Amino acid sequence: MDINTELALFTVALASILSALLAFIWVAVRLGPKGRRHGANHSNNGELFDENFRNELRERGIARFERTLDQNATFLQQDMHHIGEEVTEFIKERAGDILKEEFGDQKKAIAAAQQHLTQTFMQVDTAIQQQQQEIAAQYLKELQAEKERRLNDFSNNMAEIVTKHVEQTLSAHLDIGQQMKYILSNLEANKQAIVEDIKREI
Amino acid sequence: MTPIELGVIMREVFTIDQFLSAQSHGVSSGLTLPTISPSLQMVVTAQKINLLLPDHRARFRQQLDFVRRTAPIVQVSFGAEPSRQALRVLVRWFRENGHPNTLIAVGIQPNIAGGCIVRTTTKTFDFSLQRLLQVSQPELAKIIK
Repeated sequence: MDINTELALFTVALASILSALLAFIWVAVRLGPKGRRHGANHSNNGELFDENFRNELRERGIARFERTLDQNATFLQQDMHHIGEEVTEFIKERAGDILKEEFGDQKKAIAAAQQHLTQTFMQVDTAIQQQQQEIAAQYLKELQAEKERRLNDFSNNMAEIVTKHVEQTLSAHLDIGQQMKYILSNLEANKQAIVEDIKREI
Repeated sequence: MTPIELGVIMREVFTIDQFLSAQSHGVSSGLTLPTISPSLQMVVTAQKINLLLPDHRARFRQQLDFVRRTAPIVQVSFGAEPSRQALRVLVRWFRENGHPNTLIAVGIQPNIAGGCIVRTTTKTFDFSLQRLLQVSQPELAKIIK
């Protein structure tokens, strides 16, 4: 139901209430003291109705007026109830629409915020991954450089390192007696030079 | 025998000679008879020398002095203290191949780890494990890489 239809219904209801009120006022005016006086004048003038008949008419008029008043009150109450329900329904629908619109706007805002947040997270993730890759590459590079440096150091000083290691680990277990074969073979290999030098001293 | 041991033996013989000479002249030197070290005892027994006889003592002192003046000294450095048996083998080699009176001066040089370094008058012969590793360094580097 669109707004124009609702407005037309509301106008019709209001017009019916106003017409009922106007009818009630017109009846009240017609049956009021002036009207009664007008009839009394007639009766007084022509004496067409006696006092009892006028009383009866008056009572009947009062009764009819009260009945009409009750009916109109009932109609008015029904109309008011109906209008109230329609107004409530209208407000509900309108409020629902407004809320739907607001919720829609909120959803859009939330979706936009979520999208923005997702993009931001993706950017942050990308930046972190990139940085991680750079750090890993740098680390590997430095590790390789350090490995090469240590290998070079070790290669350059290998004899000293191994000798020191042998000295520290095996010095207590190195028996000269077991090395005599090696020493004597070296002496034999250099025998001529050694003997010549010894004899030169003599 | 090392030059130091030779010096110790010479000093012992000199002290004994001084003591016994004083005793033979009836003069008290104020000294007690010095004890004889195992090295001196071994040499005296091997040479069949009687230290109580003056001429034996004189001849022995002359021999020691001759050895001291003429014996070639070879310095041998080891990574650790060598056993007497090992030294005996080494001395025998030098005396058989070099000179019968060769004296071995033993040194300790822990940084060579194993083997020995032989120093004669003008030359040095490095038979140490350190030198062996230095020579084999390229091969070791290849194995490690």
